[in-house]
Amino acid sequence: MLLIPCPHCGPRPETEFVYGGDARVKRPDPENSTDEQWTSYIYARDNPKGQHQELWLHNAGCHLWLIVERDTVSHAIGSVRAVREGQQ
Amino acid sequence: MTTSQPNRTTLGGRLIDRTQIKNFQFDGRSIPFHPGDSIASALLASGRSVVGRSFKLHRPRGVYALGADEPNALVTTGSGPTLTPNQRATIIPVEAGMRVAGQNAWPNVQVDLFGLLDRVRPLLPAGFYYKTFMWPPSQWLRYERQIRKMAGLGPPPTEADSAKYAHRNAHADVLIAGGGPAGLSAALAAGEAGQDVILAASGQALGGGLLNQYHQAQDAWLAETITKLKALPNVRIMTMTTVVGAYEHNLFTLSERVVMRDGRMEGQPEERFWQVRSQRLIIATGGIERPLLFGDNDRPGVMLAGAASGYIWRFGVLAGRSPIIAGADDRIYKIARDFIDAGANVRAVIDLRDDPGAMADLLAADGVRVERGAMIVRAHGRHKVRAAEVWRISEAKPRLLELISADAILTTGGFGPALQLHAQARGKLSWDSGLRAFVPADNPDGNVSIGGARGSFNFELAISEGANAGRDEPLPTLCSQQAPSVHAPWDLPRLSKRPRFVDFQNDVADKDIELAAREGYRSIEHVKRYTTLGMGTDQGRAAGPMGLALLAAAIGQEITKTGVTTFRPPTTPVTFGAVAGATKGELGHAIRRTAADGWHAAQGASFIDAGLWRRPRFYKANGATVGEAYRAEAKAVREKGGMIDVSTLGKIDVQGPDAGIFLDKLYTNRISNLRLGRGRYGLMLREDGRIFDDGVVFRTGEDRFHLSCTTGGASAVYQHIEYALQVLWPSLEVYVTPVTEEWFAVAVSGPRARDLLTALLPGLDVTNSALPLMGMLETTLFDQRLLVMRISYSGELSYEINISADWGAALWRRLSELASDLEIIAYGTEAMGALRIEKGHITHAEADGRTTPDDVGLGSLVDKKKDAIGVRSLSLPVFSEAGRKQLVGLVVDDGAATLPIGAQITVDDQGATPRPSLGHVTSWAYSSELQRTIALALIKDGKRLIGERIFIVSPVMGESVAGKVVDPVFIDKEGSRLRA
Repeated sequence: MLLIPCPHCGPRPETEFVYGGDARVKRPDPENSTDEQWTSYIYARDNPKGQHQELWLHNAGCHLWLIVERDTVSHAIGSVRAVREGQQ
Repeated sequence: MTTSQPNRTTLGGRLIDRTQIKNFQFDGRSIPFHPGDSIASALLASGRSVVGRSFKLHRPRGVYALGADEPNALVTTGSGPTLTPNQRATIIPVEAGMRVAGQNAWPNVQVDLFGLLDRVRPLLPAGFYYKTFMWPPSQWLRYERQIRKMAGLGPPPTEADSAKYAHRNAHADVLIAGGGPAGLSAALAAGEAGQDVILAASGQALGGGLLNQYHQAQDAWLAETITKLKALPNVRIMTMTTVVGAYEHNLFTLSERVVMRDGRMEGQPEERFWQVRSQRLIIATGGIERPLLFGDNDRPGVMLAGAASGYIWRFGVLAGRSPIIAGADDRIYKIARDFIDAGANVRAVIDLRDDPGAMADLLAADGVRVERGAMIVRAHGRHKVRAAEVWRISEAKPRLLELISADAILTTGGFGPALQLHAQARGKLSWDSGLRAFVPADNPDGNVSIGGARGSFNFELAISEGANAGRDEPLPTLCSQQAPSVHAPWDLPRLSKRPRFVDFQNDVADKDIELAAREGYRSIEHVKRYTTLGMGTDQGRAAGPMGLALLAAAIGQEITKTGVTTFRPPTTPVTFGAVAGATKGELGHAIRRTAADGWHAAQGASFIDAGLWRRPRFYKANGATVGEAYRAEAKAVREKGGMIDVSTLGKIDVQGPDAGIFLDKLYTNRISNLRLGRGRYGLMLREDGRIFDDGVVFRTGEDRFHLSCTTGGASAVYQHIEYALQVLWPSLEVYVTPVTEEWFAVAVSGPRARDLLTALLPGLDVTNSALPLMGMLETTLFDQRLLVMRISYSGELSYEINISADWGAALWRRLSELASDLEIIAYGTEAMGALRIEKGHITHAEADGRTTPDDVGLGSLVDKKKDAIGVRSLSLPVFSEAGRKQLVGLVVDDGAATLPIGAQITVDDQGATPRPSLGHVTSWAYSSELQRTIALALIKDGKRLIGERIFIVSPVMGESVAGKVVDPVFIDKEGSRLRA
């Protein structure tokens, strides 16, 4: 079971989190996107082997959505930060 | 020695207390034992040879091994609520009075009439059931029931388990799996270095393989090491504890069996299930002894030689009084001497090697028959070994030497490392041609294998590797093992037609594997599933490597190419009860109760689960059955009035300067232009355009909104909102708080609803002008803030009254007192469902994750002039194509018919099948107002079909009901009642 170091709550077991998918996917501008771009945003996901950036919600904790760097092969976790950080 | 323990010897027995004799029951017979015995050792001591029956062929089987690798001696313990099937007799300590039964046999393991199956064994090869009973396909279920009756393990318990189980959590610097010399040495080194250590040993006593022998120096080391370890406060020693699982980020699960020699204390758990997060795992699980392949090698009395000597030194039990010992390494001579010292008459030692060396010569010089370059070809005897057929194989043409009579055949094919934990931790393996075994090739996540688990089957190596691992220092390079003098235990000529078993528990013989190979199976994973090789409770410990080798040989492939099957947790069977621990019953399924739950229960509510909540489904006073009750309740609401506890609906408080803009992005319709104190029904979509949730939003302040959402959707909606805020639009200043539990809410509906509200809040103006539909009033009751929102789900004049949850019971009580004068009753979710179906209101049955607003007739709620989650998707061509399923109503010809569960809609119910389905019924009810059955359905191009005849069918139930498509709103289309 993964141990995810939440920047707010400290290391917590995976069961406290909700997985939110690929963190690199950005929502396109709905007005200026083709159907193809839009459906790709909704449905198309990479399945990378190795380094990955993922969204996790600390649902049983601080309720922050986090960007977790995880190696999909070794499960090693790199940096973890709140999505909000650096966006505001 | 008592006569009832004919195989007890005075030698050894270091684990038992010979001063006491107690009794337990096996298949109804009283069997004596000494405290410290396992079930297996007690049965062996009493001379019991048959202890179980095999899975498929019901062949009689005896004790074969010493520990978790036991394939045969599976027993059922206890009865009724304590009945536990499939326990390995080799690891369960006997307790006085314990009731043990053999299994998979009728009437018992000694006689077992199903044993006749073995007579037709040649007719039952691998895949027999798949090949034979698949025709005609419709009959498989019938065959299967009969097959299951004959092939199986112990009986499943029929009563709830009365045993207690506990969960424990722990953290450690080092977790050590295995209490043998390597593990003990590692624990000592780590403990002396100040590390927090947990040492898990699966047996009752520490020492591992050292307990299976006598060696003065090594025994002294063991005693000294245990003394030192016990003096270290930072070392926790856990016996009867097995590390069963290795998971990501070094989480390990441990199964601990709580043993009470003098009876169990009240409330004491039988097993504890541990979750241990450890910086490091040291795998010191030792080796697994491998069998030899020969005809009828599964007969009671055939046993692993190492295990047999273990029974002497641990329990003082002789597995045979006149045994034959066979193998291909020097241990067989040591074991022969153990047996001689214990008083046995060793009939012969059979060595596969042509020139074994001095040990053989010395034993022969002592007058024991030693056959070099020879092998056992077949065991004779059915319920008990009588003799072994010994052949010379060192010459060009193998020849029968002699049929040597014996009461036990003790064999060993050498040891291979126990790889389970290493492989579970996703460690790699490499093939060691000296050991003829797979060995660990790396240290996954820093978890290191030492001693036998690494392939170092040597005391000095084991303790030096343990010391290094304990100090977290690199291990010495794996010493090149001695040249492979060992005959591979699987590479022996087949000189008998009798079956040579690879997997005892599942009756898989070498021919089955060869057959699978001939039939085209190449992957060991497929062969495993086809033949059931290695799928028993022993998890293929002994069978696995041999099966691999035989498959590799059969398809002419390198064994390294064949690979191994995936190792999955648990390494040994764990009781379901232990995994569940205390989380069963109410603790397993927490029940959330609303503030008025006590009233509901006292008034005879029948409850139903809604999300994590329980809600009154109906009140028994209103009808004997749910059907009667909901019809009466719905009728009362429409004619007079009703009140229902709606506290379970999700409530979310949204505040902040950008709250309005934010809600415009969450809901398909515009929220930001709501006036203060006004509400609006809103739809939320997923980004793919499907309906996600619905509810009413009220503006309770300039920068503040009160959202409601469905009971079941509350937590997902909150996560969705946080996602929108934190990930999609983080620049908005909005604060979101789930407040469902803060509020108690009751909906009062019906023509007399306003009278009840006035009675509750005398003097307050609740006329249409002061409190119109979708309006809100704020006042106080019991000195508490009270919100009255005029919204309606039932389609009647209706108010939702909200108060602090602490005052919910008081509010409900007050309302119910006032309601009785007005003949307003409490109603449950079943009536609520009927009322909303009459109005064509959707719930999760219609918003099923596939439907869009248009599909359910709510297209007008989508404001396409603004961006909201999911709205862009609605302009994708797929959502405007013909053939989408649309929400419609249905009525049936036979007015009061009940509709089949899972009903499909067809245009006809005659003619050829299959008939295409147009759609399905999503919900139905008997409408008290219309006095007929009505339904909502999602039907292909449904709006076009209004007025058409259809059939509501269930091919599975063989039911068909004729009906007609109608508008989904059955009553009060204009909505005059809710505006009354």
